[in-house]
Amino acid sequence: MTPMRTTPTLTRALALVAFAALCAPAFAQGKKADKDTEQWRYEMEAVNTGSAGTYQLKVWSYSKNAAVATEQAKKNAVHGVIFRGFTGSGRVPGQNPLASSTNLEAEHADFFKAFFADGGKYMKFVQITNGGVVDPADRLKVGKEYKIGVIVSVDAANLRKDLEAAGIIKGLGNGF
Amino acid sequence: MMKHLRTLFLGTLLLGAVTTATAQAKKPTLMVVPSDNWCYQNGFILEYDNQGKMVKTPDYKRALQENSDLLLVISKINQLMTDRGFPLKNLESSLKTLESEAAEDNMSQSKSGGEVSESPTDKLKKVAKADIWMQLTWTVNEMGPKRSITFNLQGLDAYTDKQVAGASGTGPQSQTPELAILLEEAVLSQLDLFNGQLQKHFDDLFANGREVMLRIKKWDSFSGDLESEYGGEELSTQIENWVSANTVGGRFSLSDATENMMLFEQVRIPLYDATGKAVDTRGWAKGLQKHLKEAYQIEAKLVMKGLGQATIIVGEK
Amino acid sequence: MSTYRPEPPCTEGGSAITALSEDATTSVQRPASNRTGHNEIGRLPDRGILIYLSTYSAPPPMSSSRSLLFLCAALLVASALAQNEKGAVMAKYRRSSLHLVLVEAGDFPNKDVVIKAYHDQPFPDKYNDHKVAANTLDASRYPITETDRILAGYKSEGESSKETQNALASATGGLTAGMMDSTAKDTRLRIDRFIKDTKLANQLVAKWFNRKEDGTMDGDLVVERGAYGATQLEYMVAQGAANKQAFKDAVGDEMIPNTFVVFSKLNFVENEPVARAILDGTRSSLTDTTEFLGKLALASAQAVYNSTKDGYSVWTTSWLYQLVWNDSIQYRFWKELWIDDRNVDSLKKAAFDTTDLFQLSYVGSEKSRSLVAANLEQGGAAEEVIHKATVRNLDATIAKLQKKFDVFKPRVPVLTTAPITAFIGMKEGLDGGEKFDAMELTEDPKTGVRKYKSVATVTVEKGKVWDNRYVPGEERAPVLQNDSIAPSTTLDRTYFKGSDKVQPGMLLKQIR
Repeated sequence: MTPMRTTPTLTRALALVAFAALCAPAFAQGKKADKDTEQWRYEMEAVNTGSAGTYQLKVWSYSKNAAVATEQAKKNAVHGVIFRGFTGSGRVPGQNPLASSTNLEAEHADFFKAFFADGGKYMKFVQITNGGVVDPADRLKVGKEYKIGVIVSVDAANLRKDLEAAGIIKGLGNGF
Repeated sequence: MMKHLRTLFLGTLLLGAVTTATAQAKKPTLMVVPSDNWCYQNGFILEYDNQGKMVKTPDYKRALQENSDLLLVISKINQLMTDRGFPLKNLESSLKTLESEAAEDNMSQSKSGGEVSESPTDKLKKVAKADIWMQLTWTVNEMGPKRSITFNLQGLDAYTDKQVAGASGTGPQSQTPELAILLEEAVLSQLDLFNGQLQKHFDDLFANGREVMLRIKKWDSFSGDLESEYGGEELSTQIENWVSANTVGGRFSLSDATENMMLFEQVRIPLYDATGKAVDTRGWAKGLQKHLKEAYQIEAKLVMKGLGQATIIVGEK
Repeated sequence: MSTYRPEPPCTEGGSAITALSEDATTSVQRPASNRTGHNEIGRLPDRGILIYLSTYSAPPPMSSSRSLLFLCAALLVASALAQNEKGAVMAKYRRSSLHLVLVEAGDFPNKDVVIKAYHDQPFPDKYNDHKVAANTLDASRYPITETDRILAGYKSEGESSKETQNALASATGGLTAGMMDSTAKDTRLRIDRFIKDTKLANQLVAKWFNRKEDGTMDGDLVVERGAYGATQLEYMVAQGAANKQAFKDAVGDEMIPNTFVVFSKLNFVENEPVARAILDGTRSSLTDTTEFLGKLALASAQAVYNSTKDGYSVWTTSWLYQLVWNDSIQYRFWKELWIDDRNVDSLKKAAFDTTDLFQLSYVGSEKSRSLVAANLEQGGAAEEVIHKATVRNLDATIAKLQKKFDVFKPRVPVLTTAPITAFIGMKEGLDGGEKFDAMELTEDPKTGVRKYKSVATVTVEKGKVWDNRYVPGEERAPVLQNDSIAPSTTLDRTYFKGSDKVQPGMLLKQIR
């Protein structure tokens, strides 16, 4: 009844091709997203003083795919809080990066590779505060690519503790 | 180059010290106090008689009793600092200790008679023994139905009275009726910035040592003076040599020297000694006192002022 | 966080469009309101649903070649403006606050019924009710002289226009006053005086800040309206902030510049004399009726006459004014005039009463005419028909203003696609069937110029409109029994039908 029985090899081959075809865009998208992430191309600015221990900020991410840019926002935000800090906006002050050394990322390359992998630990410390709704004024098509501003809350206090516990960054009381 | 090597060497030593469990520097203690400015603006002032002259000083006790916003801000800062591993020294309990000690002091004063009167703040500093005073100022700005908070947090090193960290700014205007919310927002927006600077200060402590002041005087009863020769050099030179050998990277500045006195400023003493024991100003100065006795059989008295000012008076104990 | 940006009433295409809709010789449009949720007036003959005979608003009837030229030019202008309009980067949508003033001038048939209907009209959900004491302008108290007109810089009317006006005036016993440009301009002068006399702008500001008899004010209404008018997005973002309340007054602040006053002048007229006067006007303006175009014009005028001569009409002319509000006015207000219960100051109180700091600026005007019925029966039924026609006509006027000025058009981000949804609903006046443009903000990589580009059109699904008439984060208000539309309590967003080109985060802007 099934074509499997009649021409198993051909069917299997076809199925494989079909599967590959189906997966291709997904792979491509993942690859693209990673590429965008690897470059860490994003900008951040303060939105509000976050509730205890959190930073509420807007992170602008770039991608040819608007959905990818929105998703990458979380990764970028955590990356930014650790390595870059962000500027203030109006009367809300910006914050300095958690890392005091500019080489930190290279020094702990393996740690951060795992940390920022898809589904990595970074996800524990970031939340999209606007329920995924992007302000239309923050969704910008520049040429062929999208620049998207997403508002997120980064749990900086716990992120700091986690990195301190892992020995990646120094605690305030370290050495005493 | 030499200096660089020395720093590197010291840094390595320090790193070793940090990693061993026994070798730990004394953790700096922090205490939040309202600034003089805030106390004056909010009417929490005390007048006391300093040798016939009326002097104004902040009335911390009444401020804590009467201003609930102050308590709230202090407790919020305390909560966040505890989270960073730095529970604050409690101003209120320090004031209580001060009160009970004052009663004893009065008794001893009456025995020995007329001492130079200390300001209540000096007394508090002595009792609280906080390494860093977090001095807090805020003002509430009103504009129409809106309010905003201008917030200023200064970290003063009790050893030198220098500002080692600071964060300040004016928050957003809003109609939020509860001042507490605006104050909490101000603390939350500024404290990480403050701690960032504090971290730098601590890094500097580890790298370059703690900054203190050393004064050398002589008793009238001392037969010679600081220019008298000991071990083939003037006493002042011998003292300078010792200071140079016992400071991190040999950092200090001899800002004044006569045959009767020497003033060492920006003296960077190490956080731990060779055995990995935490060093404070008194302990460090005691080393000099000991050295004078052992090397040159000179007795000396060590007097402390605050946490960071040591005076060694040569001649007798 | 939020510095407020005063939002000037960005007209759809600016003043040229305004001129266009007022001056076009004839423009046949759909009823201004296609909001099915509102009660329909009896049964209106299709042809008469609403024929906007803008000639009543006055330009001298043109020769047919001129009118054709004009039409071409108008079309060109319209398309250019439409493009430009789409491109403009719009400010955030904020609910507007409305105050309504009735301009009472002269007598007309069924005046009582019409005026009563005016006062009975329900306040639209979409706006904040910003009614203040000064709500009736008695025209007789503001006589306008020729000198006033000259001082105001109004040019004298063309001869033919005067003819038409005279014909109209005599035909309707002067009842059409208010429909004609010259009298409309007089009304503008009256309105300006009324605004000055009543210190209307001061009253509006006083209402915003709950000004009490002793002159003390507070910001509670700003907070309350801000909370109600905040978007779901703003509410959600605030939940992650240290100060979870601040967004309320920040949003409220942004609403103050959107404070409007609608002055409405109503009339109730028999159609025939008006239609005849227009026909006569056209006839007399045509130099040669034997010429082809002349014939055509005459035939069309005759056709219009035939289709409009029966029955009665409710006429509404509305003038829209906006409170002038910006950072510097707000700063001076707070600095020089503000008092609250903590600092009562009689000098500042008096200063508020007399200040000229607050002003209203003229935005535009709109006219609507609703045909009532071919033959009015006498008695109660007629009253009901007139009542309904008046309410409908007022509604149509507001709808037209809304269509003309971007500031009134709700704008929200697309939340999801397949199905397309958004956090918008009855609070923004939706009841199903409304059309929205789905737009995307684009930036030219070379020039950095930003523009919204329309991607698709979507329509609100009937029966899938979210009843969001409550403060975000607070308990939903009980559903009113007598609501014209049965709101669904299970929906938490509004659903749209439309193209799959729409993507989350695109801007939905109401078209109509």
